[in-house]
Amino acid sequence: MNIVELKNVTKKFGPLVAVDNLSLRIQPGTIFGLIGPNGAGKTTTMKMLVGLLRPTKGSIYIDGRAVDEEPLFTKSRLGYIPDDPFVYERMTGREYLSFVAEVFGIPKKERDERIATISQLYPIAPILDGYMDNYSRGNKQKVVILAAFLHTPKVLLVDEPVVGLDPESIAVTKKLFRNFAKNDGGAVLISTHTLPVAQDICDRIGIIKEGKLVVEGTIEELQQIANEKNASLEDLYLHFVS
Amino acid sequence: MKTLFGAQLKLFFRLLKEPATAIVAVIFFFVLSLVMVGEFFGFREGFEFLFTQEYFGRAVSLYILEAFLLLAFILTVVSSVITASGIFFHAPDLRFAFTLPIRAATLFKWRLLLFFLVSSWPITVIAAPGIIALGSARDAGISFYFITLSGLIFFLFTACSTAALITLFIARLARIRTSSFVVVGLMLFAVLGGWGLSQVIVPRDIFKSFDAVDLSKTEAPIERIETAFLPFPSHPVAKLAFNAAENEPGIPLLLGLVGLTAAGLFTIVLIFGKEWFAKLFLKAQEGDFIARSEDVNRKYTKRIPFPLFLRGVGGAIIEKDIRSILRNRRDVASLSFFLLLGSLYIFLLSGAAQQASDGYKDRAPLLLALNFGGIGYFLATVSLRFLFPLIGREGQSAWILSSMPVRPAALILSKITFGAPALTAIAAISAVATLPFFEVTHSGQLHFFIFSTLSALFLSLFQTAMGGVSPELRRRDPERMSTTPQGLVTTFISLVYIATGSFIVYATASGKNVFPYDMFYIIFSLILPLLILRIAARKLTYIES
Repeated sequence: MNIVELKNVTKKFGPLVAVDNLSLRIQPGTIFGLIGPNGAGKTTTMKMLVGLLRPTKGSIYIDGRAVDEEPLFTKSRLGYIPDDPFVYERMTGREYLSFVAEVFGIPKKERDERIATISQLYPIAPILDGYMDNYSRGNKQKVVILAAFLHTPKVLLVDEPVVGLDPESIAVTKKLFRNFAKNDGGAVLISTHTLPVAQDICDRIGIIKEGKLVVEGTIEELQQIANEKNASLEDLYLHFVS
Repeated sequence: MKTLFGAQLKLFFRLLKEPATAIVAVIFFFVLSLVMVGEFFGFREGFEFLFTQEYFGRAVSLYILEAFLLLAFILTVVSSVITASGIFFHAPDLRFAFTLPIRAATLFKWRLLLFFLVSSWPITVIAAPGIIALGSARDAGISFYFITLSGLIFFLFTACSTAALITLFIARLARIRTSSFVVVGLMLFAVLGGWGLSQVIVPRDIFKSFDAVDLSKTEAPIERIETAFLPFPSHPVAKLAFNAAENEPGIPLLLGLVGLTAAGLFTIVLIFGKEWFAKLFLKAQEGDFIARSEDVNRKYTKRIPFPLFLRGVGGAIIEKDIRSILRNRRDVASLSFFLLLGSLYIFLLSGAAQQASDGYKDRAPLLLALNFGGIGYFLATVSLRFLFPLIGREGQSAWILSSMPVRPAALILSKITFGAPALTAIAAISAVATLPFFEVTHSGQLHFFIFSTLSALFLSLFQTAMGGVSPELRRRDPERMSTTPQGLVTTFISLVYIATGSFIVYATASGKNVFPYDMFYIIFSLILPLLILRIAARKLTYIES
């Protein structure tokens, strides 16, 4: 069963077609990378999946339920990490994590344990009780990533996951996503321009251009389609986009 | 300096080229002009009447000048200090300017000029029409306007320089976070400030100020009034206007004094600014906590559990909003400012009512209606500052709640649960605190109380909902949200609503049967917010902006 499914989804902003008849399916336990040039429609697709934007046409399903019909159900299955980690500036990192846990209805004892556990994943304990407007972009991103894991989602939607992160944190983040997909059976949809990261962790890659899915498959499948054996993802990207 | 200010002006005029901004600006200046014109005619009528009063005329005229110039001074200084930290330390364009090869002293002068322009509204709107009305009532010549308007410009420099100095000293001294101690202290200071100011404007023995016991004199003396207002920087300006209107001597001396005070304070500001501005600006960029250099060795932090009092989705959102507001210096300063105004109003009313002659009781219905209007206007202003932007202030972090399983209706409900009880409590306290000063029947008092609390409920529901219909998620400054087209419509409807309520209160207190109007008011108060709430809930399903 597909845990994420887009069926002929189109999104228009006035005369601009940001996403054009896009169809996509993601299985549980898969890390799917969505790559493409600026303005290709990656972030718009992510926002429609979360339920932040309404598709002009088409349907989106998360865990078998339509996003526009049962948004509370689909949102309860999602963890979302946006491209810009705008957070509540006057809250501390710890308060923010507690806030997210409270909204997801995680009991207090369990919440405290989970926050204690996940806050060890990155070296952010010393700043967790400071206001988030004083955090660097990378530290905000780390808190947002941790918050996305708090309620044990089934799907992670990640828009530019490693921008602003230091190399050590990038390694931790990649491991987090891999464990989530391989050990917990979750699905991860990553939109990124950082091709080495996509090549490193994604099971399947979709290249999107001008709102349309140009090609989709494993790296090996893409190499076959492009007829370029041993080509890197960067070569494949340039092949399909240019 | 010329380039910096020129760029600012260019940006301003470019903004005005956008139709929506231009319409907002035109409506804003139109409303402002209406207020000034209304004030002018009100003051002129008052001054004309006073000059026909042989005994009290001159003294009361001076008293009014002193009182409203003192109010204008306090309002200018307090409101300027509230906006100052943004202008001097936290504006994004200033951060950019600091990366350019421009001397800090030049940047300070640029920000000071902006600060003066932004801070000039209370004196322009409150003081200028009053002074012009005085001249008009006395058929004064051109020299009167030249002298008094020059005095007002100097006065503006004095008030703004005072505010700038206070800001620099606060920035220098207060490296403190907005702790609960600071919040409570500021609130207490605001209440005491309101009380203190009311004691100056309406002293306990106000009739002694006019020497009303000695009617052998042909004219009430003005010395006691002068003495009462002598310690304040507004006094020389009030005396200057009074002397110019009365053709009394000492005008050059007073104008010189006012000008010298302004020039002296302005020079002091420039000296301190040149010395401190760059250091204070850099310090301000460090933030409050963790990022501050003095916190580098901090081992222990006070951790407040979240949520502390409330539970569930709504509780978490309410506690998040409360913490965000109480930890924001500008929000706390605005709250204190409102508290100062509220406290001043109640203490002034109390002082005036206790000393008024029995004659005022004949006008109880009118005064009661004015009181309703005053409280309603206050509630509308507080609501516009804090409740109308409540959904919009989610800002670019709106994705957080929108990506979680939270119904838009639950989000709005939590915002209302935050705002409505607080505003209704303010209305109830204001009604209970002011009603004893009016001679009205018990049923009249009950009617007033119900209408006040109902109005607060309406304003909180209506304004919160209007703020959610099309929230300005990219515009984070809650103070500016009320100047959007939607904010202006909200303001207009709120003011018309309060004016209608005042009319019904007046009619009821006059003994007229206004049952149909009562019913209309009650039904309107409930139906309109529900309609807008429905639209807002639908709009908030997606974040399209």
